[in-house]
Amino acid sequence: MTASAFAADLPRDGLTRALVRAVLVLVGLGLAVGLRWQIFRTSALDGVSEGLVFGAALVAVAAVGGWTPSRPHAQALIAGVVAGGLLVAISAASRWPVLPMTLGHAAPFMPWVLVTSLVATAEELVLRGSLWRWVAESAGDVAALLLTSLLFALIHVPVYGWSVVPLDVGVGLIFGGLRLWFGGSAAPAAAHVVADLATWWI
Amino acid sequence: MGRRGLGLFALAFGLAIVVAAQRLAPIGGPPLYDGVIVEAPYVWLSPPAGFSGGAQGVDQTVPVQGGQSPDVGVGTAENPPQAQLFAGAGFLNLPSGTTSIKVSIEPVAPASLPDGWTIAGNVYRFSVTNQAGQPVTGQASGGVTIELRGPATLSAPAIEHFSGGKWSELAADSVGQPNIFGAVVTDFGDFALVEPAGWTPDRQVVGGQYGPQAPGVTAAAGPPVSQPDNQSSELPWPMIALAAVAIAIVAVIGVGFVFRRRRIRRPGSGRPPGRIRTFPPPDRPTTPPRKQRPRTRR
Repeated sequence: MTASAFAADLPRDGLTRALVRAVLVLVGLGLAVGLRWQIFRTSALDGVSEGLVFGAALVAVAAVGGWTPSRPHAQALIAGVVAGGLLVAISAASRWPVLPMTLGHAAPFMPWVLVTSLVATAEELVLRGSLWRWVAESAGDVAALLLTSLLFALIHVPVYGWSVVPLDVGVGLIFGGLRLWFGGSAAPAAAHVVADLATWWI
Repeated sequence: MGRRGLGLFALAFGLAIVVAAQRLAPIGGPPLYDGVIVEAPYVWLSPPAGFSGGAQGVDQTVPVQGGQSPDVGVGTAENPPQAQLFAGAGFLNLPSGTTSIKVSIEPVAPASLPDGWTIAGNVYRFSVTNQAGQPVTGQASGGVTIELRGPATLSAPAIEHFSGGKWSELAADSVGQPNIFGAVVTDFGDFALVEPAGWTPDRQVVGGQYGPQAPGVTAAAGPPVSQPDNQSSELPWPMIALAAVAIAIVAVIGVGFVFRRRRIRRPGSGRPPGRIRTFPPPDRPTTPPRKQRPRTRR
């Protein structure tokens, strides 16, 4: 479900179409982030519901952008899990020897796992799935890598603040590297899910 | 550079940025990169009108084994906790004969106000003693941190420590969760998150609706809050503007790429004629000639 696959190839004269689709996905992503930020700021919903709405909105944006479900490759998933584990290890090592302990959790485990996985996967479906494809088609892989990495950092600013931008740009580049190597959004989605789920324990 | 080569470069470059970012400005707690934020409204010890009260304290006793202080993690009951204390194993100086540590975190009224600052939220009194009531301190090498959560969006927070009848400023680092900041400490007492003078909390939201705006209150009545000015906190305009500029730059670069590629592909646009391929080639027939079957006689 996490790999990006598209029904048809671009037509020969599809550069303009690709650019328009990229802009549409960008606008959709902006609206989804704005919606999440508004919910967060006004506390209109609890965190799990907020994540559910945000994740659903992102999946809708990805679908509008041309993503359709397909079976991911095991190799990509394994690489993604390894990359996610590496990110967690770096984060933990940077705080050595003091590891902050969790003092109770904000939500029951299973709903939290499901919604966190949904949000992480949906972000990848949009950034390293739909948006990547259209930007790469219209402007090349380098532009797709830079744009998605920058956007990955920016969409986290409303909730987490500017302090996360350097870290998230680096993480965005890593996820983009996985996208380039394995050719789909399965590997970055797996890495993203692992990194987010680790927050339950550390 | 091929696609995989670019991917490898992105992986290596991203890894370098991640390591550098975590070394220079580590995100001190979860979430690492993203996650589901569940944040209950801030509760005050003495709430301004329209804000919620009910700030809670916590007492916890931690056993000591082998004469070395254990891992300690204590936080108030709010979600997420509004005040927390973390100490790694061995980072607390224990009086001899210590068999247990008692950690207490209580919201208290401020004894005085720090000069030039507004207290953002509650003042919390951190107390760490052994079973005999003797004070326990943190080692100078670090390893003991307190974390305080602010009541709303904080722009330039610091943590102030009240000790010996005066306030002193500590560096406040974001721990990676919204509005939660931490500082390394060696001794305990009263701590508060502070913002530059004039800060006011955002409007409280109750049941999805905005409650009344916070009126000014005095220090004796609760957290010092001046007249509210909520207009400036409605939207993060600097962030929006910066994001818009960044997106515009990338879009311009993208459009430039597109037009460059189109110019290259268009026949007669300056590219060597021999490399322009059109289909079908004008000097060739559109369909290949049929093979003629050899005639056979019946």
